[in-house]
Amino acid sequence: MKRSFCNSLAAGLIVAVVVPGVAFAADYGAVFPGFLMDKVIPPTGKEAKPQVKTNRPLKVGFLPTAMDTYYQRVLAGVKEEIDRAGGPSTIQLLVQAPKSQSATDDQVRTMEAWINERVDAIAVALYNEGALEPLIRRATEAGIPVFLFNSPVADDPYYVSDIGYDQSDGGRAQAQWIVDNYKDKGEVKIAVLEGLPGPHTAQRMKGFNEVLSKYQNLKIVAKQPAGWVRAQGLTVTENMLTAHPDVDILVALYDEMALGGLQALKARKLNGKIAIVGYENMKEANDAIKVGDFAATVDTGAKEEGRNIIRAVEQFVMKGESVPKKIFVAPKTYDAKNIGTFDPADYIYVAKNTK
Amino acid sequence: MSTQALDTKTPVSKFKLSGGASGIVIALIVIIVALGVASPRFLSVGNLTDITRQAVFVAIIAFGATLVIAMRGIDLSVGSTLAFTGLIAADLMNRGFNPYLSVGASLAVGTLIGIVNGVLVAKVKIADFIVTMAMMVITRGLIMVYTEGIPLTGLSNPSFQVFGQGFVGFVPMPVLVTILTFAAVYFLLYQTRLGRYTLSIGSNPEAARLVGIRIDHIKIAVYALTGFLAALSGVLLTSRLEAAMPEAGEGYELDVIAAVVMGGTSLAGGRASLLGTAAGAVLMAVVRNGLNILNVNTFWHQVVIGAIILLAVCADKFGGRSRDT
Repeated sequence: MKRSFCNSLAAGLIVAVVVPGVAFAADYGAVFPGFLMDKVIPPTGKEAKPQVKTNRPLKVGFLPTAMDTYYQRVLAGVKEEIDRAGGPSTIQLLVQAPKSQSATDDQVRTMEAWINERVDAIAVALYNEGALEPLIRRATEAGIPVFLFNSPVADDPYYVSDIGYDQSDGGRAQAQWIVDNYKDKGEVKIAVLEGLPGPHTAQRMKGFNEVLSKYQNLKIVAKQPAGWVRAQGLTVTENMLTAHPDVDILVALYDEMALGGLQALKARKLNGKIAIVGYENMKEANDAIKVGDFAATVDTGAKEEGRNIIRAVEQFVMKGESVPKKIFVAPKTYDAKNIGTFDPADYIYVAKNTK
Repeated sequence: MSTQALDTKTPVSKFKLSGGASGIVIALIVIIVALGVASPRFLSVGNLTDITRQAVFVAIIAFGATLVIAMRGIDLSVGSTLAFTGLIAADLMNRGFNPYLSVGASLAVGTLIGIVNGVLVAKVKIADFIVTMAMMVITRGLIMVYTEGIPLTGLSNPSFQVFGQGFVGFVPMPVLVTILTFAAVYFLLYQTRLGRYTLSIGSNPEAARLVGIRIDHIKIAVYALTGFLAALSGVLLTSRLEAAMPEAGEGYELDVIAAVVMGGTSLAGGRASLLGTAAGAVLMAVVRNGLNILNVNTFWHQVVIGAIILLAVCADKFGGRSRDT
């Protein structure tokens, strides 16, 4: 795609202001469409350096925190972008998922194995940053660039690029939808299903509260963790509704929990009456918006995150060009008004059309 | 070691056997009253219905586990079995099979898992802890291989939904199923030879063998029953959520053991209180519900449950029945 001279100049200027030192690596926008320039932070200097590796296939490790609907969608983007880059003969993808969200030791073992195998790049989603930091450092020292994805906290100085979105933007988007639709509706009572305590929950709630706290009439009356899962979303919603039968909005920091909440509302014939605001735009949530069971959900660009991982690998490891320290996209809110504009192909891996 | 359990002829007095429940029943009443005072909504009919409906998934499995633990066994595979069998029911229905057939197949697979556990423990003589732990990770692994972490959904067939979401009069269907299960297992435990032999094995396996009890058969039967009940719970949960979740039942094995132990069934075997187990399962649901209503961080529930387990066992020990152990 060709960009006008003006645009590149503007982009270059912005990068120059935000990231002194890499001003000439300017036109990232062409490589990573829609990425947010203002989220970029300066590099620490401890990262692996860009390199031109000529061996094929390039071995790239993909290590999520667990395998679930969300990471499957990221993986779909990864695979499509690999197809575009030339398929498995160009980039060989190694996928390893720990057996559960909290199995950080599994991630540590996988990282060690990949470092010993001398893979060409590693993409890892952090759940426990502290536990993985020594491994990220070891990989970097071994010349293996490490890319992070869906990792809300990234203080580690060694990673090359943090890919995904700002988790607090997700919470902000949820709150903004509530503000847009309820700010003039008198006192509005909100119940919140949080995930497990940790950086994901903390970041999302931070953004949510930032937006919501400016409006006196929008009140959080109950807030409980439901472990990211549907079964707990159901019981915790039931219990919260007992304490607060007059809740107007049910917010969940992940659609799985929101879908559990929906089962609780259905049992009380309150679906469609209490507005559910979910997070992630899972397929079922998308369907629920179409029938009026969900009010809104926030799409965090899972598949684009996957594409950006491979784009970053291509830039950094194959072409030897630098990449931004943060490659974040803006979350998008869907409700009944715009749900029709969502392309269902964004949920799945679409094999490349070979003509 | 008590001598009564060696008596395999006369039915053991059920009063004595359910006596272990007194501690947990008192604890349950105290907590219900306290929560009722703290929040007027707690004692509403709607909330009590919710609590029973939330308790059933653990309770049903715990009825079977009561027998397992009473014969000095342990079953760690129940949570994975629940998820595995729920997945089977969902998958068959998504492939167009009749819901009743799908549920039947799911229950059969659960029973089969139990039989495999039982055979490995009783015939191959591998320690129950190891057998059921291996089964726990194998079935969970198979679930993840098959689903790749994505839940199976689209279970909108009304004749399946009724299991987890229906009502008979004002009683929720899963609660009714639990009551019937309780009655059946109660009968099995206190009125049949299987129940008496189970307790005899737990009380003194060597003596049980000497009086001619086929220990292997009893063990296989008890593990099969537990596998069946885990599948039943899996069907109810899948129907309740209208989805088979890959992570369903994670940690249930410990909840189940907690319910059984709180209820006064001794880990040393030989003593079982099914009523106590039911009270234990309800108590855990009550604590979770109460802390949600009072808007206390739900992680406190683990602290509270742990404290109750210790208190219940202490009350048991110093309540005059220490002669049993």
